[in-house]
Amino acid sequence: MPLVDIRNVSKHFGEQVVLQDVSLAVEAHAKVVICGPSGSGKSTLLRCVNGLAPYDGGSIEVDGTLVTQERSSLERVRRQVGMVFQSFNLFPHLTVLQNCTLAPMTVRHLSAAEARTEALARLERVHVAGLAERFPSELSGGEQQRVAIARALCMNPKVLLFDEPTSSLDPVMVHEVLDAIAELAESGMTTLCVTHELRFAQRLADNVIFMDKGAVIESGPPGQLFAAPRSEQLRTFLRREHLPAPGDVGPH
Amino acid sequence: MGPNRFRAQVWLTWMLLVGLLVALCRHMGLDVAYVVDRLPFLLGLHLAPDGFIQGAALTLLVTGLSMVFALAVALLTALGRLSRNPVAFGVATFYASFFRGTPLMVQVLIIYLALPQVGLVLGALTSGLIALSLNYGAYLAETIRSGITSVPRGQWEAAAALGLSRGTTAWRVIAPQALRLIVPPAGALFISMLKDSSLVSLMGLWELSFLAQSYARATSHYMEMLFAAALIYWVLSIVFEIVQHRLEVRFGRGIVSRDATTHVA
Ligand SMILES: Nc1ncnc2c1ncn2[C@@H]1O[C@H](COP(=O)(O)OP(=O)(O)O)[C@@H](O)[C@H]1O
Ligand SMILES: [Mg+2]
Repeated sequence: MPLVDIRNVSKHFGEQVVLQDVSLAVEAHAKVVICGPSGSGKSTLLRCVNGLAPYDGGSIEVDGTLVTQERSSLERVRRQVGMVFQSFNLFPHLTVLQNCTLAPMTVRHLSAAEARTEALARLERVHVAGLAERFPSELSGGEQQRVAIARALCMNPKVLLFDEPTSSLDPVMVHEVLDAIAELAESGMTTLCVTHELRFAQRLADNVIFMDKGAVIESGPPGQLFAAPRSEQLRTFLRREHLPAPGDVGPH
Repeated sequence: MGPNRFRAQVWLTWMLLVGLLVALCRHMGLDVAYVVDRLPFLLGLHLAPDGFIQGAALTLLVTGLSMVFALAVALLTALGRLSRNPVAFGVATFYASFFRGTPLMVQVLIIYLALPQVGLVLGALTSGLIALSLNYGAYLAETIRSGITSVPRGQWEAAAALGLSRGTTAWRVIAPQALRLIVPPAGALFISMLKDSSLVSLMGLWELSFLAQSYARATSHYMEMLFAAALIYWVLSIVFEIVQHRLEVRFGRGIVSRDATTHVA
């Protein structure tokens, strides 16, 4: 059974269709990248997976739990699913360590000492353990995003969702964050990552999902998908993202 | 100019102005002994003849209790304003509109003088506390509401994604960030409340300003007594400001501060 099982999910904002009949099965240890033009519903899809946004039709199951807006469902699902946001969303009034221990202490009921030990180990995994006593405002964007990843890891999730984790970073910091994500994924963490970094997708993903206007247009291994796009939408998208598809003569 | 030098010069200017004020008082030949004699009464170290506390002690009691009640009322009202329940929203906005749209003095008189007409008789202190709490609660509610809504949505989402409960999210994530924005305007409101507490003298309570006036009138020591009362209010306000500043520092941790020179107290 897939760890995350999205079946025929649809969602509207008023009149606007944001997701239509989206299906996606993510097996344990899978490395999935979602790409597509802005406004195509990628963030919304991720937010439906951990219940930050409700969906109208279809079903989403995480490790066998149906995702609904019921409190019991949300509690179970969010224990399994970690999320990393484009804008980091660290808690600015807490130190790096406190950011990482708050949820383990209040949700998993760890003691301060246990939470601290675990947090330092997770911070070490993304190479920011030395910053434990700092406040987020004293960190670079790349460091903040790696702390956000460590914070999510501290809940021992089975899946990590990344929503454009490098889109608000200076170019020089993009790589340190992508490398951290790649390391995690290689070590077996199930990863569902929305990104515009197509070279990263090519390097890491075993499955790439291309979305447009709320629907999954194409999916497949990155080599195959990027080398031989079948749809006009994906060809256009790849041209815009400067990853010219073979056979394309480039812009006129 | 370095911030330290600026601070030093500000202090110097203050000292100079205080010195000037003292010199002026001496020049006017004020009766200092009279003030010293009445000071324990002004401060409220003695009870009034009817056994009630008086002077600055009463002023502080009224202000302190009204602060607590106003905070409670304001928090409820702010939650009402943020609520999607139309009744809660309606009650909150109606209350705030009335108490912000009418003079505090009129509110005090309605509660103390007009309510007895319909059979509701409240004591002077109770009436004063209710009027001050409801009036300031209405303003404070707006301060609290805007503090809460200023916390970015991403903070709620990050907390939710981590599986934090609503209570933990409210108290450990949102409140500390909102308080950073709430403390400065709330401090200003409380200082203003300290001064407005003199309105309870309307109902015959012997708070600081009332005592000063009566002593002044009795022997025509207006300058002495009113100046002494003003000084006590001023010192209390400065103490409030210091507390406010401490809280600002406490809740400002982790947030890069923009100005370090504006605080004199
Ligand atoms: N809270 C919201 N209310 C109304 N429309 C929204 C909301 N959030 C997203 N949308 C709309 O849903 C569509 C998909 O948004 P999103 O999932 O953020 O796309 P992406 O992440 O692919 O850029 C967009 O057209 C956006 O305007
Ligand atoms: Mg998005």
